Amino acid sequence: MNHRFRHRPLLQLLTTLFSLTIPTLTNAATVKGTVSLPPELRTPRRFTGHWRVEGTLPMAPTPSRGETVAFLTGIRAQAVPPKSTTIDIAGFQANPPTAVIIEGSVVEFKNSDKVTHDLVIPGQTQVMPPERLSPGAIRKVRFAMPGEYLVHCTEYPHIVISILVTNSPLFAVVDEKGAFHFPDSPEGKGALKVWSNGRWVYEKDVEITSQGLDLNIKIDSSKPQDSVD
Amino acid sequence: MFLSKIWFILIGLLAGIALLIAFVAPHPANRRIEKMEGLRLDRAQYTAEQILKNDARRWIDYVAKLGRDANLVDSLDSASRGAGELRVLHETVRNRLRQLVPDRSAIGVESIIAIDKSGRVIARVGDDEGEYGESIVGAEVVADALRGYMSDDVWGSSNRLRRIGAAPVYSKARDRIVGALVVSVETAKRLTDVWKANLGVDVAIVLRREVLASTLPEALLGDLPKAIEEHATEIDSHKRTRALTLQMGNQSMLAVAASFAGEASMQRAYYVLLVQKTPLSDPWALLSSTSAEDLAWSKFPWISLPLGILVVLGIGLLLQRLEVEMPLQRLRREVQRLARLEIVKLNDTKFGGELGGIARDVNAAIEHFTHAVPAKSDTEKKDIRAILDPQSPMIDRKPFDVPTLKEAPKPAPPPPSAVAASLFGSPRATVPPPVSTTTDNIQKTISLPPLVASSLKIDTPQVVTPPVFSPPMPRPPLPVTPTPMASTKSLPSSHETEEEANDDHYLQVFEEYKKTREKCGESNAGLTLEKFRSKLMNNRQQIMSKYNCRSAVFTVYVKDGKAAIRATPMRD
Repeated sequence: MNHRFRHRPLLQLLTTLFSLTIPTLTNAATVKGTVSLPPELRTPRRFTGHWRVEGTLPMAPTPSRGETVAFLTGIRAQAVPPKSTTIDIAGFQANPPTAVIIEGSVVEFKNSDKVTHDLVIPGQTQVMPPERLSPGAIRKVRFAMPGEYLVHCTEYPHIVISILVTNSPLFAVVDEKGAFHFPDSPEGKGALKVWSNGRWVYEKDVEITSQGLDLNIKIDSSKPQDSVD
Repeated sequence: MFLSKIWFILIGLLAGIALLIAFVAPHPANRRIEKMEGLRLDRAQYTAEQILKNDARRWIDYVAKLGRDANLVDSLDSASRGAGELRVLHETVRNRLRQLVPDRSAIGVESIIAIDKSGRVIARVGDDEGEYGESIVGAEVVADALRGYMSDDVWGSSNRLRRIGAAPVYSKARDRIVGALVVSVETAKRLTDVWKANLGVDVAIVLRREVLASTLPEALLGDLPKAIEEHATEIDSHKRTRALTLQMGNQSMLAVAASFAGEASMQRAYYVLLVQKTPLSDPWALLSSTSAEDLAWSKFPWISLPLGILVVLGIGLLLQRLEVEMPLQRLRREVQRLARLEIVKLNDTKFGGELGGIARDVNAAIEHFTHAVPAKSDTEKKDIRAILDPQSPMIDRKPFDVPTLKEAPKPAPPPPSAVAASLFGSPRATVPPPVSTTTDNIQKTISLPPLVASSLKIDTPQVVTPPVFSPPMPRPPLPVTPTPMASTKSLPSSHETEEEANDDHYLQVFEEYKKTREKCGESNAGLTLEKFRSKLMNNRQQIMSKYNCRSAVFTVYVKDGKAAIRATPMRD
C-alpha cells in the first residue's frame, strides 16, 4: 500500500484551511489621494491689514507646514497606545501647527521664543486654562477625550495649534503637494475626513476594498464643514 | 359778552398752542441735532479709517524704500547666504539703519527690524537694539514679506499697540528676495493728538479693556472699555458701532468705536471717537442761551410782534367795551332815570344776558316794594273809620291809637321811586317824612286804608260798604295823566299850593287804586275820580280834625285779595 495517498485528504484539508487564513492575516489596502485646497485655505495669513501688495517678483508659494490632515474614521483598526507629543513655539509659529494624538496622550508646549506666549483653549478652559508661557518654559497638557482642540496664543493671535485627539491610528498628514497616503488601511466601510487650518473641510463615505482607494479630493471653500466626530 | 368770551377763548387757545409748541418743538430739534452729531461721528470714523489705511501704505512704502539701500541689501544678502559673521552683520545693519533713520521718534517710528530671508533677525533699531539672531518668520506680515508681499498689520502685545509695515528686500539684481524690513509705528498718544487735530473729535485707544491713550482726562474714561466691550459683537459684524450715548462723569458723550485691523482685531483693540453731546433744548435753555444777535432788528420781529399783540389786545378790549361796558353804562343811565322818576320801570328788553337779568330783578324789586305788605303797625289793617272812630263795630277790637307825638304810627313806606331815588342820590326825589319823628315806630311804607267808591272801600273787607258817593263836586276835572308811578309821588312839594298838591296826590292814589283793583280782578266800573277825590278829601278832613295833624297821606294796598286804601296822618 502507498502511505502518501493514505494522508492526502488530510493534507488537502489543511491546505484549504491555510489558504483561507492567509488572506485574513494580510487584509490591508492602500488608500491614497490628493487634496486640493482653495486659495483662502492655502494662504498662511489669518489676519490681514489694509494692504497686501505683490512685489516685483512672482510670489513664492505658501509652504505647507502640516496644517492639513486626512482621517479614516469608522474603520476598525488596531489600537495604539498614547504617547506624548511636543509642540515647539519658535519664531512666532508652532511646530507642528497640527498634532494628531491618541486619546490620553500628553502634549508638551515649549516656548523657544524670546517673548511670552499666553496659551489657552477658548471655550474649553477646563482642558487648558489660560496660562503664561515664559521664554524657554514648557507646559504639559493631557487630552483625555477624543475631539478637536484649538490652542490660541492671546499675545500673538496668528498662532493657533490644532490638537486632534483620536482613538484610531488611521490618519495621514497631507504634504506640500497635497498628497496623502494610508499604506495599511483595513478594508471596510468608513469615512474620509480632511482637517485643514483649524477646521474640518471635507467628509465622504468610502469603502475600502482589497484594491485600495485612490481619491482626488477637491475642497470647496464655500462649504465649510462643522466639526464632526 | 359772547364775542368777548369767544375772543378770550381763542387767545387762551393760541397761548396754549404756543406753549405746547415751545415745549414740544425742541424735541424734534434735539433728535435732529443728535442725528447730525451721529453723522459727524460717522464721517470722523470713516476719515480715521482712511487715515489708518493711508498711514499703512505710507509705512509700507517707507520700508520698501529703505530696503533699496545698497548697504542693507549686501548685508542681508550675506546673512541669508550664511556668509560673514552674524555679529558683524548685525552691527553693520544696525548702524546703517541708524544712519538712514536718524530721528525715529520725530516721525513716530518705534523700531525697525531687518531680517534675512529665513526670517532671522539680523538687527533692529529702537526696541531691544542689542537683540538679534532669533527668528520671527512665524509672524504673518514677516512671512508675507519674505514671499514678496508688501503688507501691514497691527499688533497688540505686551500692553502696547503697534502698527506694522513690512516689505521685502531684493538683491541688487532684484532677482531674488534676500530679506525684509519691518517697521513698527507708535499707536498711542501721538496718534490720538494727531486725530483730534485733524478730525476735531476726542479720541481714545483701548486695548484689552485698558485705555492706552486718550485726549480726554483719564478720570472720565473709567467705564469706557466696559461700555465698548458690550458692543463687541456689533463691532465684529459691522467693524464699528453706531453712535452710542455714554455718560462720562457729568458729561453726556456721543461715541463711535471701531476695531483696528490685523491681529489687533482679535485682541480687543479699538479706537473710540467721542464728542460731547449737545444738551437737550428746552424753552428755558433756549431763552438763557439767547444772544444779542438773536434780538437784532433783522432777525427779531420788533415791529410786527408788538403790533400783533396790540391788535389782539385791542380787539379784545373793543369787544369788551361793546359787550360789557357800554351796556352797563346804558343800564346805569336807565336806573338813574328811574331814580329821577322819569320812568317807572326799566325796559329789560333793551339789555341782554346778565344785564337784562339785572334789569328784570330791579323791576321785580320795584314791583315787590310797590305791592309789598307794610310792616306791622298800630294802624296796620285798620280802615280809616277805625282810625277815626275807634268805637266802630267793624274795627279791630284791639286798642290802638293814632300815632301821637309819643307813639307816632309807623310812617308810610316811602314810595319805591323815593327809595330808588335815595339809593341813587337823585336830588329831586324825596322820601316822605315820617308821621312822627319822636318815635322809632314810624311806618315807613305808605299805605292807605281802603277807600270805597260805589264799590270803593276805604275800610277793610269787613267794613260795611258806605253808600254811593254824593254827586261830584263842581270843579273841573283834573287832567289825568296816566303816569304809572303817580301814586309813588311823595307829598306835594313846597313850591305847589297845598290844594294842588293834594289834588295831585288824590290823582296818584286814584290811578294806583284802579290798577290795584284791576290786578285783584275787581271791576272799576262806576269808579270816577271826582267821587274818589271827594271821599278822600272828606276823610282827610276828618283825620286832620281828629288827630290835629297837618295832613293825611293815602296809600293803596291789597288786603285779602282786594284793593284797599290806608290813611296816614301827617304832622309835618
